[in-house]
Amino acid sequence: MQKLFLSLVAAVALTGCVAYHSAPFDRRITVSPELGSAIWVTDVRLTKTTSLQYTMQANIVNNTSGVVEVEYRTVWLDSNGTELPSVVSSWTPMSAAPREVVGLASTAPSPDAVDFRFYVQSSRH
Amino acid sequence: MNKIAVVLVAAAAAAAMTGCQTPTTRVDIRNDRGPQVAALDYRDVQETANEMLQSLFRSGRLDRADGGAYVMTVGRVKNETMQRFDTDILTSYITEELMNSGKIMVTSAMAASADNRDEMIDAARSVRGDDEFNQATVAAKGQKVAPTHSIFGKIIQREIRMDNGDKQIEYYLLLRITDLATGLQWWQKQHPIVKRTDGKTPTW
Repeated sequence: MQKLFLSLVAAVALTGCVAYHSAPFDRRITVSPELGSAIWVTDVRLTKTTSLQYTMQANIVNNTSGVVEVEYRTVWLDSNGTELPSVVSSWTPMSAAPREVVGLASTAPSPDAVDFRFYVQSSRH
Repeated sequence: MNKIAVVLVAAAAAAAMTGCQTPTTRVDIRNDRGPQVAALDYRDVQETANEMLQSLFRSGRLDRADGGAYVMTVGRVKNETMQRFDTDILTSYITEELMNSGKIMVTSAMAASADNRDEMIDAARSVRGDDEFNQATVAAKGQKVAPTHSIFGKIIQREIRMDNGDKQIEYYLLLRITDLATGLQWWQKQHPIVKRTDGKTPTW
């Protein structure tokens, strides 16, 4: 009985270590539904480098065997969660080759920006 | 009977002509699904401003050790394209965002273009000694703040005929910031925008 219990515990622990193929979840990221699992946004980081302003970095992964054309934007939020309107939050077009991983970065328009939301949608053109 | 036929034909013609017209619509610039154009349009300007501001913010150049703001004047941004294009459309995006960041103040007392200078600065000083004005409210001498930096640049257009007869239009939008005390260039960014279109498409 004890052996069975230990085996079950070991099995559960091992299952936790197994990588699975599904989109990573981050509440700061929104990928529009029409893209399905064509792209993933991974390795999202918020850092300060040489500037006092935050820079957001992320990778866009093209999971398909074709070129994917998307647009992305980063909306910056102040400490109250209010959007800081800025031209740096306008949609930016981007294409990714099959299976390509594209690194992106966006720097906040002001030191007041402490959080962000990142949106990706299909190209409109 | 003839009159009725004429009226019907006229009505049909009017309806057909109306059908050919594109109705005027207001564009939602946050979700513009309109086709690309060969000339520079507002989307290109916004994209360029975005790229340039990102570069400037990321450089850390704007961060003064004492937390204060630099004072910037707007120099000349030359339009060397074949299009009529007021380059203030680009520079005003940049200066607006820089002012919003709290790290730059822009002077209206000194600028390359008269459009960026405020005539009222001198007008307000012209009433010194005028007893119609309360002299305590008139700007005193030595109040203007000299700029520490200037922003200038140019927009270039190249057209290249492709082997299949199509046209490639290359725009280069270049901005620089100079430290006015030393004359050294403080920051620079070039943003290319490349478009391909039919060989007969005009860009002006």
